[in-house]
Amino acid sequence: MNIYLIGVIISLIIYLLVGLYAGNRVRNVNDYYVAGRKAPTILIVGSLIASFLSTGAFLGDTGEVYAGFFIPIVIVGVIQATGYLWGASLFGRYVRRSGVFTVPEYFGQRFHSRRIRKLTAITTIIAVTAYMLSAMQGITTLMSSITGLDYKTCVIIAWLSFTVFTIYSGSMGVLITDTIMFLVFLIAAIIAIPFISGNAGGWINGIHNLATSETVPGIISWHANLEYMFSSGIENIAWAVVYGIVWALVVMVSPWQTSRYLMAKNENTVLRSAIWASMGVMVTTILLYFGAAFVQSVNPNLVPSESMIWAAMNMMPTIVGVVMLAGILAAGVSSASTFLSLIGFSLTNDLITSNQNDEKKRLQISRIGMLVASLVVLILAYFNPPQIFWIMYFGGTVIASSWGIVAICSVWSKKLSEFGAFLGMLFGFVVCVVFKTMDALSVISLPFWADSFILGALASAIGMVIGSRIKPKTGAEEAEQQKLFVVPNTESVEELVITRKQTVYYLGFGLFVIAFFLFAWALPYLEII
Amino acid sequence: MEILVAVCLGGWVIFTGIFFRSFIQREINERKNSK
Repeated sequence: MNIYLIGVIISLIIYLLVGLYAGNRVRNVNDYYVAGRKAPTILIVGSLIASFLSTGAFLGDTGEVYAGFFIPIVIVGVIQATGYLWGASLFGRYVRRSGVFTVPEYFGQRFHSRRIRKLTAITTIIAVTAYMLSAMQGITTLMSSITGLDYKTCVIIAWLSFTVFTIYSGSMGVLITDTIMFLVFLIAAIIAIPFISGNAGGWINGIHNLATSETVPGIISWHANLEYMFSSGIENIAWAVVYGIVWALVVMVSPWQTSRYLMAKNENTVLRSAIWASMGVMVTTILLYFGAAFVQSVNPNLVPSESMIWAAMNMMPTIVGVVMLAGILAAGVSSASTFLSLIGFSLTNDLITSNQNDEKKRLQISRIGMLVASLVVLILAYFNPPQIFWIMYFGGTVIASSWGIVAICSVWSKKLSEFGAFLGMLFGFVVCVVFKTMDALSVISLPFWADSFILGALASAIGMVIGSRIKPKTGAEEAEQQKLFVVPNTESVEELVITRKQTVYYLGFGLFVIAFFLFAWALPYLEII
Repeated sequence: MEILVAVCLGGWVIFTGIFFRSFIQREINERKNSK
């Protein structure tokens, strides 16, 4: 048994033990679904980032960078991370204010509609299952690379690594393990990158070498490698901006992000978490992307999605490599545990609504529901080929396409009615899935500006307008919307002033981003060109 | 062009931060005025 495998197994055992310990503190469904609604900022930040950054970021995105698409992926990374601030202020805090257990329950309550609750639960289950499969496949790829075991054996180990504690502890365990896993992969990214850049001849030399790369020309220029996706730089940048916005919308409204806010102890925790999560995602992803580019300059002959795994095993001291691999694994496991809990919660809280008042029995039903959901995912993963990057895009974009505009308008629109919201979500979901499937099967070939997400969002907007015209908003819906703007007595203005002060860190961070990209990328690059 | 990209990346972060700060400021003002 090699040292990397031992490190990975030890980390999995720690997550399991912590998760089971947290599960012992679960007393009722409130603890199980929303961790008692008393989580501080650090836990919400940890869970937001850990749920969002999966093996897709650590293996898929870095693979894209390695293959020559550095700046477009950086642009997507920066824009998507700012989605936390837009999302928390325009949607997330109002979801928390509604006092629900799940995001589908929010939509059902906001529009007085059981069918909207069920529709959002179904779209959650479908999209999150697709996303979860990609996380599982990422974990499996990693395990397979380390152990040499076959894919199917690794699927079962990957499945076991998060299902046991997630089923037992629900959100209480997921919140704590997510935060530990976030710290593991943040530390991994911070300590591993100096070794990777060192192998590339040092940071500045590494940039110089990449600037003159003959194997992947243009890899770190503003236009990226012109043989990778589009043959013009403008198209590459336009693609990046479009996908940055798409993923910012995912961050703003997706259930695996907004559901974290339901666990926050107050609304200031929601707002502060958004500030720190945004910075945390940017730091982690930008470090990784630079790392992947440096790996390219050292060894250009790797399978792109395995470049960071190779780096961990060949470009740094063994102990740092162990931390790096444990970090990549943590990113996958943390997302998978959140996804599983979301599927289970949507199933038992929103689809199979029970009149059971006994807390213990409700808890039991929730756990059985999650076990069933996890078995379905296991079966799907067992027979599915490993395709990390595109499957992940499918899951994320469907939710943003179907819910994105409806979610924001559920808080801010004066005209959106229940029927408008229902048609908007339905049209967005169906159009996005149909076009994405046809594109994947090569039945049609969509340009990036008419991506299935954009077509779905357009269909969603049309559905909202048509539905709201046919059946306008009722007085009850209006009253429910107004409730969202009633600030709870527990929220003090003094705390809000402190939150405002924390935005200074974010503005300073923006200046740091400019300085970092100027001095660590643009100027060294231009020196040599 | 690389310099422009670097400035735009950070500029977008700063713009988002300003929006967020003014959103919070507006709420602080509203709540102070309603007292």
